[in-house]
Amino acid sequence: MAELQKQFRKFEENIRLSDIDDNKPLRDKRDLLIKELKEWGKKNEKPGFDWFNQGSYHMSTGIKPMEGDDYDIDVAIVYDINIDDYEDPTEVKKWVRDALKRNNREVEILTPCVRVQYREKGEPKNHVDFAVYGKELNWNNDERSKQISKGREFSSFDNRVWEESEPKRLRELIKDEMFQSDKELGGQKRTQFRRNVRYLKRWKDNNFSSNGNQRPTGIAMTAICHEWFKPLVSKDWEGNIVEKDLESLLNVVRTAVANNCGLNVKLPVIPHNDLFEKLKESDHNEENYKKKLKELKKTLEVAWNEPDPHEASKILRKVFGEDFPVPEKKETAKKTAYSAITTSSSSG
Amino acid sequence: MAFDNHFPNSRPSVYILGDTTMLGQVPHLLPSNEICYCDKEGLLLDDSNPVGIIEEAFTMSFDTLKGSVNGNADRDYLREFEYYWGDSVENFRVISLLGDLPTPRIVKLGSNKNIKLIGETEEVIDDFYKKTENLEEQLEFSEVLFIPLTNSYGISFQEKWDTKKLYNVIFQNIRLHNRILEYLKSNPEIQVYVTIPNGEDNRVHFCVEFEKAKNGKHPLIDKSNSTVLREIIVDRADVDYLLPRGGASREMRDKNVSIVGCGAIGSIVAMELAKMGVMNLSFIDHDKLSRANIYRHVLGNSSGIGKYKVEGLKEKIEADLPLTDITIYPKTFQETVNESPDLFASADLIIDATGIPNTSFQILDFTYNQRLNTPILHSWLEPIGIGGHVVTSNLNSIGCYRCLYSYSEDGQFYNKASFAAPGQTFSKSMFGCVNMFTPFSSVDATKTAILTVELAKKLLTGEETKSSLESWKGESGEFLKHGYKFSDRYSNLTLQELKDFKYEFANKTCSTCLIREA
Repeated sequence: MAELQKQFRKFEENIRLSDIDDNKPLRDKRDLLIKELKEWGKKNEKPGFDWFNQGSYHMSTGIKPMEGDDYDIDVAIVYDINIDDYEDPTEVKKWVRDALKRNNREVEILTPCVRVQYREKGEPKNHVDFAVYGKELNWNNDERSKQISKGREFSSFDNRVWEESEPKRLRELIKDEMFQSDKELGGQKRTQFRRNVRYLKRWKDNNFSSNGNQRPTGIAMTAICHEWFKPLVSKDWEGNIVEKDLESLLNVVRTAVANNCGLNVKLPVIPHNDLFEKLKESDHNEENYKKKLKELKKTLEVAWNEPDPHEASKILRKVFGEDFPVPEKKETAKKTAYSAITTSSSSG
Repeated sequence: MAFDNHFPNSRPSVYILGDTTMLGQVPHLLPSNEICYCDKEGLLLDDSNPVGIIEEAFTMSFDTLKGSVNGNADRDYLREFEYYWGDSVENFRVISLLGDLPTPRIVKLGSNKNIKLIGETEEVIDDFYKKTENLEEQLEFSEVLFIPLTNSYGISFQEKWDTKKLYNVIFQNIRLHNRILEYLKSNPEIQVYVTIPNGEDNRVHFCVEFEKAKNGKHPLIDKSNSTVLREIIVDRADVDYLLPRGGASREMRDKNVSIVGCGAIGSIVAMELAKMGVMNLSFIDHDKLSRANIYRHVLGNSSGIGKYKVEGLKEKIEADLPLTDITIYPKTFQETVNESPDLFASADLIIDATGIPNTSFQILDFTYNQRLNTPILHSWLEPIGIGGHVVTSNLNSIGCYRCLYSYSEDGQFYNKASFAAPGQTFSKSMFGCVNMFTPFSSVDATKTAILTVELAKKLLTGEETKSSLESWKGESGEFLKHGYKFSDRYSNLTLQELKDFKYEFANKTCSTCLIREA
C-alpha cells in the first residue's frame, strides 16, 4: 500500500476551481448580466429579485473544465413574486430572456433555466445558467417555499410548471447533517467530502465525452458522494491529521458499484429528481457508464495494492488524467539534509 | 454544656456535673467527666442552626452513655486507649521504632536527658537518633521486655491500672506464660512494653515503668504488694504505623529507586517517593545548589548554597523522613557509572529527570549495554508553562524514549512529543536580561513531578506494565505572546486524546526497541 495522500491533495489543488483565482472572465460576465437584468427590470417596472450562486459554486465542489469543454456558472434569480399571480411560469423566464437578449448574444429558454451561451470560433465555450424562482406564500404572506419556473416558452401547458426547489438546502444538508461537530474534525471531514466530489467529477470529465448525454452530471457525482461517503480522517498521537482520500473514494465507488452504479440516486433535497434521467435514455450510455465506473473501482484497488507511490500514481493517471501528479522514483528523490545539532527546548 | 468562641462552627463539649460514681467508669467518659459523643475530626456543623446543634449534642451524648453502659466496653476502651493511658500531670513519652512484632522478645531502650527511643537493636536506635537529632550527646542503652498480646480480654479503665491489673491483662492474653515469668524473675528491674490487638488490623502500644523492686522481686509478679504504674505514652515512629497514614502502600517499602537529575523535577519526585514509602533511594547529580535555583527547587536558601543538590536532598529527606535510606552520587551520570557500573543492579525503577536528551540517551544505552530490564521513567518540562511529559523505556512492550526522536520535514532532529513546533530555541538570554525571566516556574516543575510520581507508583506496584507517554498541557497565552509556535500535538489533541494515545507513540523502526525485541 503506497502512501498517496500527498498526490491526492496535489491533484485536488490542480483541478480545484477557486472562486478567487479562477474563472474570472465568466464571473465578470455573470455580474454584467445581473446588472443588465436589474436595470431592465427597473425600466420596465418589473418586480425586484435576489440572486445567489447555486450548484458547484455554492457547494464549493467546482473543478476546472477540461480543455475545450463548455463550462458554466449557475445562478439563482429569485423574484419577489407570489407564484399564484403568475399562472404561466415561463412569463417570468421571458423577462430574463428579454432583458439579456442582444443581437450578438445567444440567450435561450431551456426547461430548467435561461441560458446565455458564449462561443469561440462557433464552438460553445462557456455559459451562464439562470434558474428563475418565484415564491409560494403562506396565509401570512411570508415565503413558504421557493418555486422554480420549469418549461420552455412553447412547451405544452402541462410542461410549464412551478416546482418546489431548495437550491441552498443541499449545502446545508452536507454541512449540518453529515458532520455536525467541528470538534470531531467536522471541518476536515467536510473538505474530504468535497475532495471526493472533485475527484469523481474530474473522472467523469476525463472519461466521457461532453457530446450528447453520455457524461454523467456533476450533481449526480455529488449525490453519489452524499449517499455513500464515509469520512476517513483521524488524528495520530503526534496530533497530525491523517486523511485517507484514496480509501474513502474507493469506498464510495465500491458501494456505488454494488448499488446499480448509483443509477438510482436521486437529488437528496426537494424536488428529489432522478439525476441520471438523461443518461439512462440511451442503453448504450448507461452500459458505458457502468463499465467505466467498474474500471474506476478496479483501478483504485490496483493503486491501493501497489507499494510504490511512483507506480501507483501512474496507474491513477489512467483514470484521472494528467493533473494527477506522479512523484519521482524513490531512488531519484532528493535527500533532505538532516541537521545534527538542535538547540534544546526542554528542561529538567 | 460548654461552648468556645467558635460555636456554632465548633461542637459544644458535654460534661456530667456532680457525682458519676453511679455510672462507674465507662468508655467515652473521660476523667474530666466529659462525654466523647462524637469525633472532632471530619465534622460538618450546620452553622445556620445552632439550636439544632445543641439539641443533637444532648441526644448524642445521652445515646453514647447508654451505649457505653450496655455495649462492648472492652472494644470501646481499646479504641480510645490514648484518652485513658498516660499520666495526666506529667507526660512520660517514648519514641518507638518497634512495629507490630509477633513474638515476645527483649528490645532496647536508648535514652539521655532529652530523648527516649525504643527499637529492636542499638544500631537501629542510633541510626534514627543521628538522622533526627543534631545532638552530640550519647545514648545510654538498657533492655525492655516486649510483650505482644494475642487477645484483648479485660481491658477497662474503671480504675487506675496498678501492677495487679496489668498482670491480669498480660497473663490472660498470652501463650508463653512461663517464659515471661522466668524472665521477670531473673530481671527484676526491667521495663515492659505491651501491644494489644485492637481488632482493626492494628495494635495499641504502651509502655510501663515500675517502682523499684522490693525483695528482689519484679513488681509485676510481687503479689504481696500492688503498686501504681508509671504509664508511658508511646509515640510510634515505625513503618507499620507511619506508612499507611501517608497513603503509602506497604509494598513500596522494599522498592529501590534511582533518580538521575535532582533539579526542579527530580527533587520533588525524590521527596514524594520518600513520602510514598519508598525507603531505598539513590540520587545522581553533579550540580550544586545555586542562588538562581531556589525559586524552583525543593531545597531553598537554608539548605546551603554551593552544596551538592544530592547532598542537600539527602539531608532534608532523612531529617524529615528518618526511615528513608539514601545513597548519593555527586557526579555526572557518565562518571557515576564509570566508577559504579553496578549502580542500577538493585534498582526497581530508574527515574531520569535530567531534562537533557543526550543524558537520557546515555541512560537508556547504559541499561541496554548492561542487559538490564529495569524500567526507566523519563520526565521533562516544556518552556514557559505549556506542559510537561513522562515516557517509559525498558518495559515489556515496544516503545522507549528514543522512539520519540525523528526528523521533521525540513530535516530538524526533534522530539515528537514536544508541544513546541520544531526549530525554535528557548533560553533565558532570549528574554533580555540575565535571569530576569525563567522559562519555567516551580508550578510547572511540580505538575510534571506529580505526573512522574503517579506513573512511578503504577510501575512499582505493577499496575502499569506497558510503555506509555503522558503529558500535561498548560496555558497557551504567555507562549504565544513571545511569538512561539505550538506543535500539532499541542494544537490538535485534547487532553482526552493525549490520554487515549498514550500507548501509541512507539516507533516501529526505533533502533533501541528493535534490538531489545530481538
